[in-house]
This record gives sequence, C-alpha cells and structure tokens, in this order.
Amino acid sequence: MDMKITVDDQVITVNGDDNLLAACLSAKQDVPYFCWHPALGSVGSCRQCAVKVFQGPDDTTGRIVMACMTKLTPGMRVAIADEQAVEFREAVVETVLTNHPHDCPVCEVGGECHLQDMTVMTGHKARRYRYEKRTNINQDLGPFIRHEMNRCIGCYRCVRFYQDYAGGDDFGVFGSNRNVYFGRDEDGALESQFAGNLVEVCPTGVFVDKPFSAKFRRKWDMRSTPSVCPHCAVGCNITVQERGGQLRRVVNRYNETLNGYFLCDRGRFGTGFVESPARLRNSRNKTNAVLPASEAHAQLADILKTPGTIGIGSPRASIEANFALRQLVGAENFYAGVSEFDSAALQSAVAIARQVGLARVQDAEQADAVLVLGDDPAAIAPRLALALRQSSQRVPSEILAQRDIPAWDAGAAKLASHEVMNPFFVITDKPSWLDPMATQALRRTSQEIITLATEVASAIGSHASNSDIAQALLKARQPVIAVSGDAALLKAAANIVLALRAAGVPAKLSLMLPEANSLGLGLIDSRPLSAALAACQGQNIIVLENDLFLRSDRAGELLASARNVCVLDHIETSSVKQATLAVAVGSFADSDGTFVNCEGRAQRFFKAIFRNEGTTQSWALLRDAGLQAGLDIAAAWPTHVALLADLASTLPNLAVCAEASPETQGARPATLSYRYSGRTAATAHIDVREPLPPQHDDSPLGTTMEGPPIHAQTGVKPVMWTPGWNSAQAVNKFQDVIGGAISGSNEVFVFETPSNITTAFEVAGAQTTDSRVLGLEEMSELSPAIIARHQAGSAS
Amino acid sequence: MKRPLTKNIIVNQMPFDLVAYERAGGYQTVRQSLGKIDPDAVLAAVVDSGLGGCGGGGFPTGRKWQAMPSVATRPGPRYFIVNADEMEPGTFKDRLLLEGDPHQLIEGIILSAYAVQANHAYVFIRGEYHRAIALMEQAIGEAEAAGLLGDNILGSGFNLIIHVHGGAGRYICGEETALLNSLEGRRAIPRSKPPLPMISGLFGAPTIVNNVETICNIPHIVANGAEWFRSLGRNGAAGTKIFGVSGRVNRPGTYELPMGTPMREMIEEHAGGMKPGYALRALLPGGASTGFMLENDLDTPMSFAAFAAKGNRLGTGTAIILDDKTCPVGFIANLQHFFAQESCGWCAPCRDGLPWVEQTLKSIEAGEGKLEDLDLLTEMTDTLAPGRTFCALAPGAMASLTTGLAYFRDEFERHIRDGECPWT
Repeated sequence: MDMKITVDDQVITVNGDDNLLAACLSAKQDVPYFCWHPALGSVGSCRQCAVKVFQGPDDTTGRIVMACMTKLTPGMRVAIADEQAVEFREAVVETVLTNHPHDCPVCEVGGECHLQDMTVMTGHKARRYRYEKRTNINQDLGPFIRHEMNRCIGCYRCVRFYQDYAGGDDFGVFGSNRNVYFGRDEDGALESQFAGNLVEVCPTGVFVDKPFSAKFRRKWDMRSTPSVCPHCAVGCNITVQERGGQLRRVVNRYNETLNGYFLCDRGRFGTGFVESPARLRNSRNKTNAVLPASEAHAQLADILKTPGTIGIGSPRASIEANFALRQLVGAENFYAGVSEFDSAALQSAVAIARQVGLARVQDAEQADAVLVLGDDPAAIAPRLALALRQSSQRVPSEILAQRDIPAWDAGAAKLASHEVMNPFFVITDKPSWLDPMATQALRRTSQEIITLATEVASAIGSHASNSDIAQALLKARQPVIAVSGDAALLKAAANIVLALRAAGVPAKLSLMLPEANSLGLGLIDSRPLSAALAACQGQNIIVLENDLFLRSDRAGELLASARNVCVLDHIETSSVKQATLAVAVGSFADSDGTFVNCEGRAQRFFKAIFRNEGTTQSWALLRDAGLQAGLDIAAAWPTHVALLADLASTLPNLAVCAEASPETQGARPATLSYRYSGRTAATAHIDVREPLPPQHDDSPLGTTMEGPPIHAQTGVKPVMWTPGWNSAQAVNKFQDVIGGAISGSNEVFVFETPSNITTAFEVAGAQTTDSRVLGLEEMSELSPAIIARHQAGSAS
Repeated sequence: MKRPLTKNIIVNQMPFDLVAYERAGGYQTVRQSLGKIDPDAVLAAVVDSGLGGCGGGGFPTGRKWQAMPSVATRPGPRYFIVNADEMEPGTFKDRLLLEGDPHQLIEGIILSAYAVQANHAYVFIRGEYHRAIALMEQAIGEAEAAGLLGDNILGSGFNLIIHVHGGAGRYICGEETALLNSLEGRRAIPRSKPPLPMISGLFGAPTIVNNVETICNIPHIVANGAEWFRSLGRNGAAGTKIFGVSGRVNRPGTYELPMGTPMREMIEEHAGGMKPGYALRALLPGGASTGFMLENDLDTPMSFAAFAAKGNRLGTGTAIILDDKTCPVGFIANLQHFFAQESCGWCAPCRDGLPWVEQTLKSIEAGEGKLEDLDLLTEMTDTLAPGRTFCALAPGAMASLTTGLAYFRDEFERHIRDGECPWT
C-alpha cells in the first residue's frame, strides 16, 4: 500500500510494507547501514541507520529510531539530517572502527568497501580510540575465500547469509562481547556451495575472493562487462572483470527476478577455465602441429565446402554459434549433439514450455508450496535450489500477519517459524540438499517418481483426498513444481501444473535443464548424436564446442566413421584430441552471444576479455570460413546484429534474441571507468606509445573509457557506481525500488504467454538410459579454484 | 510487619519440604483454585493487586499476562517461564527465595500457569546457583509425586510440567528475550521487540517471562486477595519486596520490607547504618544498572513509581553502597568492566562502545587520562542511551556512568590532573 511520508521536509511516496530504511533508500536518500541487506532483511544490530522520527505535527523533540526496524505510518515525519541523529550515526561508526585495522591501502576491498562509503557518509574522520585493538587469528577457509577477521565490524551479515539464507552449518559466530568471531570451529574449506557470496555480503574485507587475490586489481582498474554464467541452465547474471587480457574475477550482477544478489560458487569460481592450462590455445591438425589461424580457417572452409557435412551443435555454445553452423551445413545436417536422454527431455521441454510456460527463479523463491521432482536441484541448478530454500524457510504470511510481524523483520520472522511451515515436498531418487528443509522428503526410483507425479496430477483432477501432496498444492496460492529428469517425468510434472490450473490454482513449472543453452539449442534442433551416427556415411563432421564423449558412449564410433572431424572449442577435450582439425575459438568471455536459460529467458553476454590468440568467437569464425568456402549465406551476417536478424527470420521462435541487449544509441558506453589507470604505463616496457584500444564492433558496448559510463546507461549494468557508493551496495541507487528491478532493465522471454491448450501430456515410461553425471559441469571442472576445492574435500 | 515471601525461610536451615510446606498452609491456593475458579479470576486478582515485575522493570504483572492472546484466538502450546538468571551485581534476593522456599515458587508457578493456561513451565536458573537448581529439582519431584504437577492436577483437568534449566553463565540471559533464545539452544542475544514474548515467544508460541520474586508473590495474592496485598505497601506502593544492602554497612544482607519503605530506613535501621569510620558517599539503589543516588535522596520511598519520578530505577531493590574511602572512578571502572564483558556482542555500540568506556576509565584510574576523555565518556552516555542500543544492557551500564560523571566530576578531574588515583 502506497503512502506519503515526510523525509527532511520533502514529501515522498513509499510502499507501506517496507521498513523506513528501505523506503528512504528507495527515495534515493542516503542513510548509512551495515547489518541490513535487502535479501536478508532487518535485524537492528548495527544501529547505523538511526534517524529521527516525530510523533504528530506538534512534536519538536522527536525520537531516534533505527530506520531498518521502523514500520511506516501514513504522514510520519522523518529527519535524516537531524543533528542528534547525525551525531549518533558518526558515533556508531567511530565505535565500530575502534577495532578495524587501518589497512585500506593493502586491503582488496579498499575502493569498493561499504564500510569506507558509510564512514565517509557519516563524516567520521579522525580516530580517538588510543587503546589496543581486538585481534584474531584467521582461519584457512579453503581455496575460495581468504579470512581477515581483524577487519570484522560485527554486522552479522555473513552468518545470516551462510546459515539462515543458504542453510550452511559449518560456519557461524563464536564468542561474545567484542570477542565475537565469525568462522568455522576449525580450519577447513567452507562447505556451502554458496560460500563465495560472503565476499559480497561482507560490508568490508573479512572474506576475500582468494583466486582474485592472486591476480588482484582495483575495481576501477578492471574492464567490467555484463555477462551470463555459462555453467548451468539457470544463467545467473554475472559481471566479468578483466585487465590486460586476463579474466580477474566474476561478481554477481543483480537481476531482480533471476539471481538477485547471489551466485553459486561454481558460477563465481568456475570461470577460471577461461585461462586454465586446459584452454585450447591454438588450432592444430591431426598430427598435433600448431596451425596458424589463417591456415586453420582455410581448412575449415574446405570442410564446409564439401556437401553433406554434418554439423554437431552444443548446449554450451551460444544461439548464434549453433545457428551459424546449422545454416552453413544445412538444417538437415545439423544435430543437437546431446544424448538420447537429453534429446528426448529437450523435445518435451520445448513442447511443455510452449504450452505451460516456465516459472522464473523469483517465482520459486516466492512460492507458498513447492514440489521438487527428479534430481536434486542443488546439483543441477544451485541458484534455483537457493531460491527454493527461501520458500521453505518463509513463515506463512498469515502467521506473521496474526502477530503483526512485518516480513522484513528477519529476526522475528525467523523465530516465529516453529509452527506450520509452507508445504515443501522433495521427491528424488538420491538424497537432496533440500531434504532437511522439506516438510516431506521421499526417496523413489525415477520410474516411481513418474508414477507418483501422475497420481498427484490425477488426484488434483479428481480432488481426491488421499493425496497429501495434491491437497497441499490445491490449497496453495502460488505453488511451483520444480522438475528435472527424463522426458516422461517432465511431462508428468507439467500435467500436475495443468491439473492445478484447471482447478483454479495458478501453479508454475520450473524445468531444471542441464546446460546454459539447453533450451536455446532445443529450439534450434534437438536431434541426438545417435541420429548423427545413423546419418554419417563417411562425410565430414564439424563439432561445435562439444565433447561428444560426455554425451554418448558411441562418440568414438561416430568420429571414426567421419572423413574429417573438425572440432571448434576453447578447451581441451577428448573430442579435440580425436579431431583431424582442432580450431581454437573464444570462450563465452571472449564472445558475444545469447543463451536461453531454463526459464526461457534470452540473455546476451558480451565480449569481456580482449586477448590475442585463438579467441575469435565461434559464430564469426564460422562465418569467415563460410565466406571463404563461397557459401552465400555467410554473407548475410556481416555483423552480430545482422546474424540475429537472419536468425529471427529463419527461426521466428528465437526472434526475441535480437532484443536481448540494449541497442547502441549514439556513443557506445565505456567499459572502463574514468579512473582506469596505467593505460600507457602497463605496456611501456614494450612501447612507450599508448597502444590502440581493442577494436570490436559486434558489441553495443565500447572498449575504452570514452563514451558515457556504462552504469549510466539503461539496461545492463556490469558495475554500479554513484558518488559515495563504491561497493556492490550501489545497486540501491539503480533500482526503481529497493529489491526491485534495475531501472530501465529489459527482460526477454521466449515463451511469453503460455498457450490455452489444457490437454495433458501423454506420459510414456522411461525409454532412455540416464547416464548423466549431475553436479559436475565440464568447463568449471577445469577451473583451478574448483579443482583445488575438490582436493580440499569436505571437512566433515 | 508482615513478610509473606520469607515467612517460611529460616536462615542456615534446609528449606521446608512438601510436608512442612503444606503444614504451613502451602498449596492451599492450588487446591482451592485449580478447576474450581476460573483462570481469569486468578488473572484478575493479580491485575488488581498492583504487583509489578520484581526483576527490575516493575511492569505490572497482570497487564503482562493480559497481553497474551486467549487460548481461543491462539490455540497451541503456551509457555510460562520463570527468570531465575539472577546475575545483577550486588543482587541476591532470588537466590534467597529459590534456596529458602522452593515450594513457594512452585505454588506460584502453578497458579500463574493456570491463569495464563500454559501447560509447560521453565525455571531458567543462573548456572552458578547449583544449590538452587538441586533444591528446585527436588521440590518439583516432591510436587509431582504428590500430584501437584503433571497431568490432570488434583483432578482439575489442568496439566503442567515444570522444567528446570541451568543457564550457562551470561548476564544477558536475564534479558527475557535473550533468555528465550538461550532456552531454544540459540545464542543468548536479545530479540527485537515487538513482537513481545506474549505474542511470539518460546518456539514462537505465546510466552510469559516473570521474575522469581514476582511469582513468589502470587500464592499470597490468591490466598489473601488483592486488597490485602495492596495494604502491605507504604507510600502508595503495593506488597512487600526483598530489599538488600551490600557495602560497608553494619548488617549487609536482604530484608523483606513493605514496598515503598524509604531507603534511609532500610540502610539505617535494617542494615544498621554505615560501619564506624565510613561515611555514605552515594549508592546504587537497585543493582549495577541503576544510577547513583546521594545522601539527600535517601528519603525516597523504594517503589518503582517513586524512583521513576526521580529519573532513576528501583531495579532489583538491592543497593550497593559507595563509601567515602572507595575511589568512585575505580568503582565505576569496575562496573563497566562487568558490562563490557557481559555485552552479548550483538549490537555494535554496546559491543565496541563499552570496552572503550572501560579502557578510558581504567586509563583515568591509572592516572593516564586526559581531560577530553571526560567529553568522550559524556558522549558515550548519549551513544549508549535507551533506544540507541538493541536492548537495555548498555543503557543500564550508562546509568552509573552518567550519574557518576555528574556527581564525582571533581574526582575524575583530580585523577587526570594529578596523574594518579588519590585513593591508592
């Protein structure tokens, strides 16, 4: 409910369900805070967001309150600039800084530190504390996070994220008074697969990104490019930061309806593959001789020239790359390059998505009843699993309302939760991370799960009272069914959603597909490798960014049956080893492209790293080879935009991909900050002249510090910065309302409106063997940090 | 003078067992009330009695109980909790009641739990009170064996189990919401209020938390009526209370006196006045988290209202005397050491502010202070004022500092000027 309040004599309209702090921040007022976090709620521990509130029109004294713990009332009068409040806020910062080291110049977080920003905001300058500081021994928290406990200001965000939000139990708070200690009971790798978020959750430098530390640069000294995580089908939005042609780190890129403020560790630390020893750096022929790029392209052109060449696409390659290969070899010769299991699942996923539509990750988070079917979401779609956990932990809103507890009051809401929780069913064949959070967790075989899902759908249809699950789902207002598995199970799950909708319950379906572009590939072609094998009679084969040995135990047979095997990839794989021509291409970080995630969301990533050898993006390389081969079709793609236009006319289903990026208006925005330093000095030992900036025309983003700052543009914002807000918390300044969408952002979905067809899907029994290995994604498995994490093992 | 709370307590003797307690009239109220009079009637008597919370807050007990939603509107578990985590420095009144007459407390719990229709009660006892824990457990065993606790007590249809829980030794557990967290197995940190425990307390259920002494009054109110209870007090206050004095007086100890007895009477008559050679400089009237009072405040009646009118708090009603041979700066530094150590570490200004206060005071006491330290301390009393920190611990700590800075300014400045403590 909107209401008007007065803040510093200015009347603003606020959402009455917010707390006063969120309302002030939404109104773009500056109020300092530490413990509050839009996703973690209010707990009132840091006392930093003090403002003065006046009771009624005659009150001149007012009362200091903590804005984050204060409900809004219509007409309330608030003074942020009140002298007493200002003095108190400064006193609080001075107090918490008594123990904080003066190590900003050597701290990785310096320059993007929320504590620095808030200190400046309160006006505190000089330390008066002249006694000993409290010091701590740091712990070895594993390969992802470095621990610097002396910097801790005790905001409790880390433990609230780790335990309450992410469900970890191997990290907590110890001790009391000023000797509180945030860590583990003994040294050892953090066990949560969301531990990396501590880096961004901590308002200062207690938890430092360890792989980044080893190749550290200041935030403003790195190129920041919006990107999409390539490691699973959730497609979390990330920012890739680069300097000197080296990927430095990945940070979360806020997206209200998708990943929000958090990533999983595979997403944050898995991108190390981009420059790992396993990167395919050069093209080579079957004798393993390195080929100059021009020679490799010429040989690829020769292969493209031969009629009947088979093209094998990939669910980890972009829409553009898959489309380019499909067009060059002809649709009839193009195969998805997935297993029979995945192929069948993809075909039904596409049909289901068209008819039923797909839930967003945010829907899963807000669901009031959840049914998980098939695989463990934490293994296949970690960020979605984290969203589902929030649904399982939320105290039903009626209970909160009855006790007058606002949803943002995280402490009170959590403690009110011993009674009835939202129904949450986990039915999987193996133990699931979500089991302890479920109201009911069942272990069944894949076939039994299909049967059970079918029974639930029919119990919903007949309003049968013998199914607890059906009853619970029918009572819900916004249930979500999250499913992963074979084609039959996906259909059975879709039938539950259809049955619920027929019963008037607006249920949503979340399909957990395996790879970053699974659904996008499914929309282009979903024919399995076995079909390619059947069709192959000694032709040439071009394999695009795909290791066929992970897909089928008949991969060797297929490759052996071909005359020439050309593999385009950016990592060394078994298929690359079998290739007669291996062509090095760019990874996602070297490319412009589009993924369609498991929500049907078309998302653009942009070339983020500028380095020299072997990084031509697949679609451009295919185009150039196609031109060399004299294939007219390649001439239609002089630019990325032109390729997307051709895609739209050839495959109208994917036409929306063209809209997945802001269009360049006037000058291209700068991907380097105003403060980017050392442009000439960095290479002065080679040439004292400033090198030419990277030339790249396919992206709507510029490559230099010229042009409007990228965060000032609408839409994608790889970095958030505004004066006084240098940390990730600057996102506050770019949201329409706190926790809401980024102003001007544009989301593009392939399946916008589900069809009105209510016919249930025909569920056949499992017909293909499930040979999937869940939770091990091939690219991130090459990242040195992930390898080190595996070696560190689990402390428990 | 009537002293209902301590009438069964004989110094240095074991407390009454069940037989002796019943012989002295004990549990009659339980026999006459449970299943025979409406729980609301018990509640009404407590409301009328004017009984205030004896843990130091003085909040009307009956009104607290009334704030609990009715069984009809909130079905499900309800809890009644006795706060026996007596850790206020200088305070030892609850220990006397726990060790001296455990059955009186049990009788009070049965009546109170009946009034609010709670079927589970917890007695959260300070961990160091080993003897109290053992005696309470023994008395509860006796009461259970006699059918005074358990299912269907005396055929009334009312069920009640009392659990004894020994605390692990944190001052903050005396704060009722931190006590609830501790009881749930969580860190002992306070919870935000609202919601009050009556609405969302132990395990999220409606919960009452009362002090030991408060609940020991209940059998007497139920037995003799609210009118009688009010008549026990003086100067407009109701009932009796266990007051106490520590410091250099002739007879330090606890004394059950009418609520509203002037402080002077307690110190001069019951505590026997100051020891020879010592003069009273000031006193903390109700434990370490109340403000100093001076000689000319001694005629203040000891009631919650009279102290509130003076801008102070009666607190636990057990006074600590500061005499003229003790350094007030050292005295306050010692108090602040306690509070800095007992800060739970949850909210920033308390966690990091109190150690700063303590170190500053110790530095002044050691003759290393600066005059601007006094400004810093004054600022701190403002930073740690009520409402600025998460709970009342730090404001309680500031009560002695605020009044100390006002009353003993000269002594502070003398330490700084002379570079040493004049008392050493």
